[in-house]
Amino acid sequence: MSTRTWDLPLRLFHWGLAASAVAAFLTGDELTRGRAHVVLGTLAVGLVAFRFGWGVVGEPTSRWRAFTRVHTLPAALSAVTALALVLGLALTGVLVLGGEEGRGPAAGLVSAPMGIAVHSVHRALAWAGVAWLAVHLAGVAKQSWAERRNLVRAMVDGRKGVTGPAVRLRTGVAVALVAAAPLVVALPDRAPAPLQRPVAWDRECGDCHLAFPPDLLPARSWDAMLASEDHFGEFLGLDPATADELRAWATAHGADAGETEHAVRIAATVDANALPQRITTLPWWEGIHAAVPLGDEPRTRCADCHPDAERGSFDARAAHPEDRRET
Amino acid sequence: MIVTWFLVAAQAAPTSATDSLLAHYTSQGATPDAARGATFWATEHAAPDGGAARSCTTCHGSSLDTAGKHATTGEPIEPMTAAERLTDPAKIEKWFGRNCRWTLGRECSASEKADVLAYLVAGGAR
Repeated sequence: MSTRTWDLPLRLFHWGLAASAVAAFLTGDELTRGRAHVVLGTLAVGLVAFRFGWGVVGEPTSRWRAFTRVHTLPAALSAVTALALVLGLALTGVLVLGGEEGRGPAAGLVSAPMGIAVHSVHRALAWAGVAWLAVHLAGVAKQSWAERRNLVRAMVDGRKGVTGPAVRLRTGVAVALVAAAPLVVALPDRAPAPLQRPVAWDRECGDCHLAFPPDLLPARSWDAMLASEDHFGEFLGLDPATADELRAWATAHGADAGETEHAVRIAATVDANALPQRITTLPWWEGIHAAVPLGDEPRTRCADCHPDAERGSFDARAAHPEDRRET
Repeated sequence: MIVTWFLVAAQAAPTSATDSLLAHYTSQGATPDAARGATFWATEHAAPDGGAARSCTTCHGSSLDTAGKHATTGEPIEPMTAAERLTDPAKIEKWFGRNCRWTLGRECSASEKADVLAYLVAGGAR
């Protein structure tokens, strides 16, 4: 009598999902490990996609048709909850990535404030996942006790009873490949949507320093800066037509327009009466760079750590020395 | 023979940005002098904030052939002899306007600009 209930592909799925989900949770800190987090989350989705496919063409005990027969009701609900959590995390994750970082499949489709709002949902789901795991482990322990069998071990070697037929590993691999195909397409980062800058912005600003994206200062700051001839001790001397052009563009895309995550955060942390001129004196900037060893480097050299700075993207993953790209 | 032809051809070419600006300064009473320009280029002026004295070489470096570095931002500055330089009179004037004020604390006279431009041209910049 063969009662091998967990076939090999299913067990690989289980432990793969467990590992990628836990690792994704541990790498959730966006400032240090953004890239790994996205890859791990993508892997988890791929595994869930595999599970759905395996439920259609897999071993009899892994099929959806047998789902309620081979599981107790709590176990069935628990499994479905886990799959739903992963999908929910993936969906919100993609929205956060698109809204806050301007990357991934939702880049350009989700506004920055929306991305920031969805981020709280993403975090809540992650903690719900932690709670789910606690219940899951408790359930496994209780059921192992009740059945007088080590279910953790059973999930490793597949035996709930005696040995059964050889698993259809080849089919499992095929399903996994089909499930992974869309992810291979989705995984490469879409480049941040380049901010269309007036030629004069590059010329007048970029000759002396990074042509700062205008969303780093509120519109009123740009108004004041471009109206003044004294530019941090240098003579700006823009001709009036150029000054007007630059002022119109910069104020339209200032921090208060909230077009990016950092814009929203800057606008929220600048005092309503303040007229900041130096980006590096913004409370937001100081906070986010407090632990970064900048040394004596001029504070205008954002691109040394943020390769896409001029295009308006300050992708956090690029900010850490171990991730610095060779340029 | 060929050399002569080239010289003639060069003279017949349309007036360059530097030629037209030099002519403009001359019409304002300047007598372009590369040697005077060289001295001017390296002369230091006290900084208004009490910091290190400033000259053209502070940012442009000691040689016209090598890249300089913006004194405040650290941005690399193309050598003065770079091919794309000194091709647009308005741009030349703009940078005289910005940089004279920073370095000397005042605008440069037509005579000073003519000398500097003559020095840059003699040094291989156009």
